Amino acid sequence: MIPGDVVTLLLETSLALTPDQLLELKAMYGLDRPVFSQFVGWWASVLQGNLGVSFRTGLPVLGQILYTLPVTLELTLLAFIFSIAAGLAAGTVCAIKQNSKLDIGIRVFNVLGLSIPAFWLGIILILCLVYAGIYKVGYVSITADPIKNLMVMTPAAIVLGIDLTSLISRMNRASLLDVLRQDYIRTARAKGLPERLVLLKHALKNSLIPVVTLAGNEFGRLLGGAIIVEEVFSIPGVGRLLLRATYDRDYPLIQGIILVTAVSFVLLNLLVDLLYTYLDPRIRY
Amino acid sequence: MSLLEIADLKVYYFGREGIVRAVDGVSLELKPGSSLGVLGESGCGKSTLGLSILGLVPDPGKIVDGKILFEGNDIVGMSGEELRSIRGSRMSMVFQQPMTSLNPVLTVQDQIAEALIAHKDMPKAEALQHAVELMKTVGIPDAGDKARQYPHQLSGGMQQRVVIAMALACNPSIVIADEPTSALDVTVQAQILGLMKTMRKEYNLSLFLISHNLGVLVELSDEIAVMYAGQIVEIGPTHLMLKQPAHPYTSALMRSTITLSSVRGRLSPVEGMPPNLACLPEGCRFYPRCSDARPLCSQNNPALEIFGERHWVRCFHAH
Amino acid sequence: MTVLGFLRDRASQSIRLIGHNKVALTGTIIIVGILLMILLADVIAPYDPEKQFTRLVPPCSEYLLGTDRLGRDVTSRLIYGGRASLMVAVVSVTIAMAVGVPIGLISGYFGKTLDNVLMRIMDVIFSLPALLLAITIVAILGPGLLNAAVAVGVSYVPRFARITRGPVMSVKERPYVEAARAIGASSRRIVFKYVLPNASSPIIIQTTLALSSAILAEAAISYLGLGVQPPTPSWGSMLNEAKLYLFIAPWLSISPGIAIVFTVLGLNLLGDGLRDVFDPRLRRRL
Repeated sequence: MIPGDVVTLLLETSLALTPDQLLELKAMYGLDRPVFSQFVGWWASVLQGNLGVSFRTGLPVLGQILYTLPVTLELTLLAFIFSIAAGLAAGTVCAIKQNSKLDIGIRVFNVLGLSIPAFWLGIILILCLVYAGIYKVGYVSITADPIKNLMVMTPAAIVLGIDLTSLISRMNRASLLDVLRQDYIRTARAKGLPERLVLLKHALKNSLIPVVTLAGNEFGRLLGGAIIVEEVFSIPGVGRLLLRATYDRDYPLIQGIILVTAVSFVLLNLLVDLLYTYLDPRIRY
Repeated sequence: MSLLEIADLKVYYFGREGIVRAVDGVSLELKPGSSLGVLGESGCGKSTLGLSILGLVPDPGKIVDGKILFEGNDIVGMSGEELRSIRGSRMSMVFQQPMTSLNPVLTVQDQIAEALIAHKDMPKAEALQHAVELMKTVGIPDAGDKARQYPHQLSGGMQQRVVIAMALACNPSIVIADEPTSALDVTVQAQILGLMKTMRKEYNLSLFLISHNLGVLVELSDEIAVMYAGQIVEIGPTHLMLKQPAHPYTSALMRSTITLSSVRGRLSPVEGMPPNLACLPEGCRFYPRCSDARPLCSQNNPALEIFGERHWVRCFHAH
Repeated sequence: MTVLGFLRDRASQSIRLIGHNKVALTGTIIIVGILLMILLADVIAPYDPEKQFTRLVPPCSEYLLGTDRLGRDVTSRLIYGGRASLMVAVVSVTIAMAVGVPIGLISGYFGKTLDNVLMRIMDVIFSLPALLLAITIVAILGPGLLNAAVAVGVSYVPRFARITRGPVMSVKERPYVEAARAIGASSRRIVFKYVLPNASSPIIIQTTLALSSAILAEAAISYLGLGVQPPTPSWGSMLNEAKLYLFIAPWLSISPGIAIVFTVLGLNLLGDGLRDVFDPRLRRRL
């Protein structure tokens, strides 16, 4: 069914099997059953919590995913936090000091940030950091050594988040500029409220609404980018797992990862929707 | 001693198409407890006038010349801090569109209480409670429940009452109202006008009213100043203005208003269009539309001169 | 007025407008420059990209950008590599347009259940990160230039569908469309004559932006070894080959990246500039 059947691949890479042994292997993995029954059978075991067994290593798929998932989550979370913090700060500065040199400078950065391939930036960053003697290639788990862990994860997170930072910064700037033009901001000033209050309380809450939508939509971008960033920085996360699986045509593993990803997406979208209703009361009522 | 004195105020907008002289030499006085109405068509500069009193003229507008004396202190040239201490506490403003003037993501209670917290250093809980009281004062039923609601959940009339409550929160001396009823239904307009009258008495306010609607000004103001193309063309006590308008523009405005007695006749709008404030003519600014125009009018712009008791006109041929 | 005639008018108008907008102009210049470079590869490239000289020579006067692990001149490979990268981008965006725009048109015009169903499907594809989707498709189809293009193309279909659907839905309710229907114009005619021209601006903008993302996507996929395969040079695959020699021959990793950045930057600037040029004036004209 798939070109480059796993068994054939295994044959190529490892031992010479007799035709009988080949048939046995096929039967063991259910590859001899028709496609449809394979499909149904897979879903059945998924619902029982069994995502199958990796072709390559023989280890259970679910286990492998769960083992690597926290790493990717840490990376993605760090990137997300960084993007939001940097993006909001940059966008706000731009809006407040519109058309100043700072504004223009940040906008240039934004366009650049969207034009640079993340992985390439990662490579260059590693080059520079190694030359500077700061960085050593190699992941260390957070439980083992938090500081070393962050030293590896931080550049990776920054690189992963650059795209999103630029998008958020741009969107925040536009949104804030728009909000600051509104009548209710004029009212707030007419009430004699300190400018800081006007900005943080009146303006920001309103301007965050489109930004949150954007962040929610683009979070997926982070997960996609994680695949390649993990590869560049040699971080053992789900992304790297997926890559190995793709190179090996490890079908069950690929399926398992896709499934877990899809589920997390649905959960994520729900979360964003909830956050949205908190921010904008007009939707609630 | 007047509470508010505007002396030869000039506010210009510096745009790409030229300089828009929105307010071009306006002098007005507001005495304590009295109410002044500024009447004019859209685009005559009256809104800018209102905004400049609180120093809220938006970019690219600037106060170019003149003085605005509030309790003896000149607003023009005040620092941000000083302005802030006046805004919302000693002078407050009510705007035209209540829906957009209120922040959609904050409760109405919160928005009313803000001024109290900022200016009177009231603790939050007390301020919120006070806000509910204010809402009752302005006639919002079920004030306790409505307080925690958001602007979009209230009707237009309710929203404007909230805006008025916000303006009254810190017991200001002056309330500037820019078209306070224009965005509301006619029946609601009457209610709000009634409310403003009551509030004026209760809080002993001085009102600075801006409107294109003569009916509103007649209800609420002791004096009316008619504004045209950035200048005051006539000013006088309300009853005098109604009975004996001296300026051709004022008479035209009176005629174009529908009153019970004129219902049977035809409407007679003011002829022509208001001038472009970026390129004003040499002579009298009303000249192109004046039915009484004479050659002198096209050459010189008349000055504001006394006409009767407390009644001033800017016209060569006032009668 | 035919669709062609309309497009011709739009084109000349747009060119004039672009000339005034600095951002779009910069973008256009960059892109034209790169396109020229690639089209004239045979003339410009100093050496044959496949020919092997001394291995791993750092940049010097003889080899401007150095040579790679097999001794091939990097400059020449870079120029020829642009071809592969751009080809993948163009093919993928063409696929995305060819599939996405009709879907958007049909969905927006016929509405109701068809619209619902189609948009749900689009949502599913859209919600998956492009790279993830692309990798999955490549995993199924196998690596290679064409497969990578298809993968990237599929992941952009929802974007084109959505961006077409919007204007379609707003235009179809307009009085002049109803009038056309009343005199018996066929759906197809209405779509082509009235609806499509209104959607053309956002589609054009989306095309430039999609092209820029596609180049980045191709680079990522080829870098992972799943796209363009050796010995064909593409900017992504060159970076892949340079991976092992990162510390020994850093110049190999730098130049393809810069090429990508320039090209993508040019396209982004063009897209952003076009957005400024089209939007407010579009509203004014309509």
